[in-house]
Amino acid sequence: MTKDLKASLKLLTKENKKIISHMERYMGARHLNEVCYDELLSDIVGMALECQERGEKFFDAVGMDYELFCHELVINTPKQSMPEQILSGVIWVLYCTGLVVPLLYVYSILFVNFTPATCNGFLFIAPIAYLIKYSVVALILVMGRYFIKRSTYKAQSVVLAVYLFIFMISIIVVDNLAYTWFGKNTFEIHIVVWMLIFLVLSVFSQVAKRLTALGIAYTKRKKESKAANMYTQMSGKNEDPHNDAS
Amino acid sequence: MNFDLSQLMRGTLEGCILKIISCQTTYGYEILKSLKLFGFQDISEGTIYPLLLRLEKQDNIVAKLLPSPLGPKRKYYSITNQGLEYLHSFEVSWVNLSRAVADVLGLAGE
Repeated sequence: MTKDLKASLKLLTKENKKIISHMERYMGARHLNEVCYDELLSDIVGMALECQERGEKFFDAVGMDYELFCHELVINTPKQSMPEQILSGVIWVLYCTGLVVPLLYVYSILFVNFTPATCNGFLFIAPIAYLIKYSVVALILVMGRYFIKRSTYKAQSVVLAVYLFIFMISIIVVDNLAYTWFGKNTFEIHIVVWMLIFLVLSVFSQVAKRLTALGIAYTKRKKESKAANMYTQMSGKNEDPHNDAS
Repeated sequence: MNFDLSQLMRGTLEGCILKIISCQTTYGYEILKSLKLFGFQDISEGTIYPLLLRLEKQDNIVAKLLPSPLGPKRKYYSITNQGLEYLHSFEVSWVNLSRAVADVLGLAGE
């Protein structure tokens, strides 16, 4: 989110902020190109601010069906490219596995008798099955957040119930499979090294994702600018709207 | 049962928006005001904004972000050459269609 957009969001009324936050949740979980999504959000916030200024209700400007409005916007906005989608997936997996290990490390220090893991200074020793289990649990929790966001305009109680059901089933399946496949094999990790690797990989993936998104948005803008210039040259029109912009 | 006007409008609004943009570089709310002035009373920004995005995606119009007196930058739209061709094809189709509909509706009077 850009600084301008953040500043504009602060100017919204409580009611409009709520409407936009729902839209943000819905569209944010639709794999849109990051840069184009920011632009889209900026347009909507601008629309809401102009409504406020004119003393009109943003609710009336959008129309009754927010979901349909957002859906129309989503289908007409560039989606994430394959590299962006892969990098998004990598980032989530990194967050889940990257943060779970330090959390389990702290847990094993605090509750020595309630964990199969042990630690020797910064060395964390844990059964592979145990690490896999909690990494998958973390992944399901994150995916759940994504699933709930996607269903913003659906009955939230039903969505939560479905999610909890899937979550419970997944834990049981992962619990059994992980121990069946990996038995009591253990894994030794130096927690500081792990954190450093996690940090470097996360930053690298985030930067790579942003650059990919910018690259795609830049190509789109270049194409648009070329088309606009061609039209201006052929029609000989003065394209400066500032002369008549209100 | 009343006729569902929204179904009829959906296809024609795109052409009308293009026509307005072809006259001058403009932005969403100004397009809405023009459309209302021409008699499209039941439309809102929520109706035209997705259409503008669609036209932009199809390369019929291009958007340029320029400072707005309120909030974030505002998108100003201009038509492209492809958009002009699309508009021309819409105008031809509309003239033929409206003539055909008028002829059919005139049947009862003959």
